[in-house]
Amino acid sequence: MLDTGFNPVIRVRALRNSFGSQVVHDHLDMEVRQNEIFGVVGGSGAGKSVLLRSILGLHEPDGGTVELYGRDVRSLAAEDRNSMVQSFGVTFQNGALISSLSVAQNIQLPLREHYSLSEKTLDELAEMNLLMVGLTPEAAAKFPSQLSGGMVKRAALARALALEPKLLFLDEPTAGLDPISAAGFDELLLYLHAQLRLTVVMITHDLDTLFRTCSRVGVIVDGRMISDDVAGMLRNPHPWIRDYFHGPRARAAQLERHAPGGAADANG
Amino acid sequence: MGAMRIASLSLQEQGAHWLMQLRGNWSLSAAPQIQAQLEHLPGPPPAAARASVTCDWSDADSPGIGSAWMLLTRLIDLGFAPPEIKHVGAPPHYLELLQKLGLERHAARAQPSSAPTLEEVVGGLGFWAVVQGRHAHGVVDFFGRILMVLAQAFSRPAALRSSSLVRHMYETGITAIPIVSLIAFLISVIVAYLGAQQLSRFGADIFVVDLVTISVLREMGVLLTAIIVAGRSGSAFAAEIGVMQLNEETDALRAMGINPIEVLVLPRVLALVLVLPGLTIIADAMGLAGGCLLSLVNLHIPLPQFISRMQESLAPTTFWSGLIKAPVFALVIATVGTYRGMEVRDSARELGRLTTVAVVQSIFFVILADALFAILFVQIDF
Repeated sequence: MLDTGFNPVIRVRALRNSFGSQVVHDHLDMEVRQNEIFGVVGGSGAGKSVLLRSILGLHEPDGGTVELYGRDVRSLAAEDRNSMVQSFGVTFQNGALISSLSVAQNIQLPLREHYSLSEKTLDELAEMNLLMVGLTPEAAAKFPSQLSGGMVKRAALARALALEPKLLFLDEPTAGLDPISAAGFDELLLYLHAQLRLTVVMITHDLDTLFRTCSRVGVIVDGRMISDDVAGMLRNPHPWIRDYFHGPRARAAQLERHAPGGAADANG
Repeated sequence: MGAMRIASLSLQEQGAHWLMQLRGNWSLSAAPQIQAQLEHLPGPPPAAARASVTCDWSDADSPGIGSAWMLLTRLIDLGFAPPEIKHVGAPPHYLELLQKLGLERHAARAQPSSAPTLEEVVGGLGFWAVVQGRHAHGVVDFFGRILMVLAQAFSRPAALRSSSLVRHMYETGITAIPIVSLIAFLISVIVAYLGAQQLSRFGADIFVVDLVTISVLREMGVLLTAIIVAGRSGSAFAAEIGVMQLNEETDALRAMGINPIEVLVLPRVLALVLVLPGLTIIADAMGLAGGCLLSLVNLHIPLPQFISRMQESLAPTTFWSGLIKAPVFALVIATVGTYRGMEVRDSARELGRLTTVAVVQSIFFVILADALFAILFVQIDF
């Protein structure tokens, strides 16, 4: 059994990743604490997805260590690694729902793989996960191609939650959504985070989401990570970070956040 | 990891009130045992309307959301109203969320769902018929569009897309030569070998030559080639165009004022119509070579004798009656392949399904067309 009280939950030390002569990460350090929503930002090609894949064990880094709950992921035996994989949920950028399975079957897929349960129980559990992410039970029988973008993201979240993880990785959960759906997803995430006491690591380009949900932010610049809370980031003198958090889009997002009765507050 | 105690559930009935003691491992990994225990719960207590239940979580280890949900939904299904389900003894923190979901579930369940009636079955049949009709209409429509683009090409040669045409001729024709040659050669050897077994019993070995030449030139050369090409290129057409459909590339072409039929379909159809006769001639030649080789090795018929016998057995039309079918088969294969490709919508699964459909249907239509040709040739004595 994993000790879920371990702090920090994720510790990345001196991570190095390169593709050919292009160095993506060079001595990247990152810490994610228990029960926080940690946002990862960075320019296109800064290696956000590579970082996520390195943490998940989907990509073998060139150097450095990745510890989850205080244990080095790479030194784990295959069996322990398997139970580690079951302890976190992941959503991918485009949902990555299996297109030949219905939404309910997608949610049941990890449950079927790891436990032998009756069809009725599986249906109950799929229904719970659907209700939890705010989808109606009618969505259960639909196939991914029949869902709207927002529903795909929610269904992917439902599948990620199926094995009751304590740690959730979200890769651009609000990308490609209209502002209303995106705001709805932010609220859902905050609600589930509070109710299920999840630790969330989220890659995002959506400044509204970042300001609304994240307790701390890690920015990947020059192959390293600078982590701080949102207020600290706003004061950070690094040119790229200043451009990122003080560009025209960022100002609009902050304005909305601070204006009384702004869109984000209205949803809260 | 310490040894987990097995999940258990003990029930005390106190009139209309139940007291449930949850013990042991109540995490998701114990879900199968929990499921079994829940199924053994007795029916609801009398006066179920006022019944209540208290769940004591104090002895449950690491309770999971799924397990709690299974318990909750089972109790609701047994007839307990959600507000009458109480939890004591440090219940898991997410029970509040689950209670809320339980109410939503109940609302969702209340909506009626009926078994299919006779009306719906008949309606479904009618719907199927309409869909089939639309399909037939779609194929004719598609074929018409190809012909229209072809007709336009006479006044506007640029519409022929020569570079694309050449590429498809290379891919469907030149690269198919080795496999077509090999299969034509082998099948012809097999026919000659089996024919020789039978004919030699009557001392009619020499008729193997007739058997091979007529069957290869009239039927097998062109039919084998068409089937191989249907498998190779028909599927490739459907898959290539299907992926473009999924990526919205065809929509992008339309939006730029480019007709996808002109740039995607016509080059493939024309390329196949042009190369299939060539492949057929190669298959014919390899088939005759196979028959010739077997006659030489197995029946000791020398080459000059084989050739002279072959010339005697051939009517002037034998070769042409095979070759003339090739462009028709090519048209069938290319049209079916590209049509199915253009039909792909939405998902990877559709792509696989329609690629399969393209191959199966094009082979079926090739054989159907072959049967019609056979009847026609007999009737006109070709």
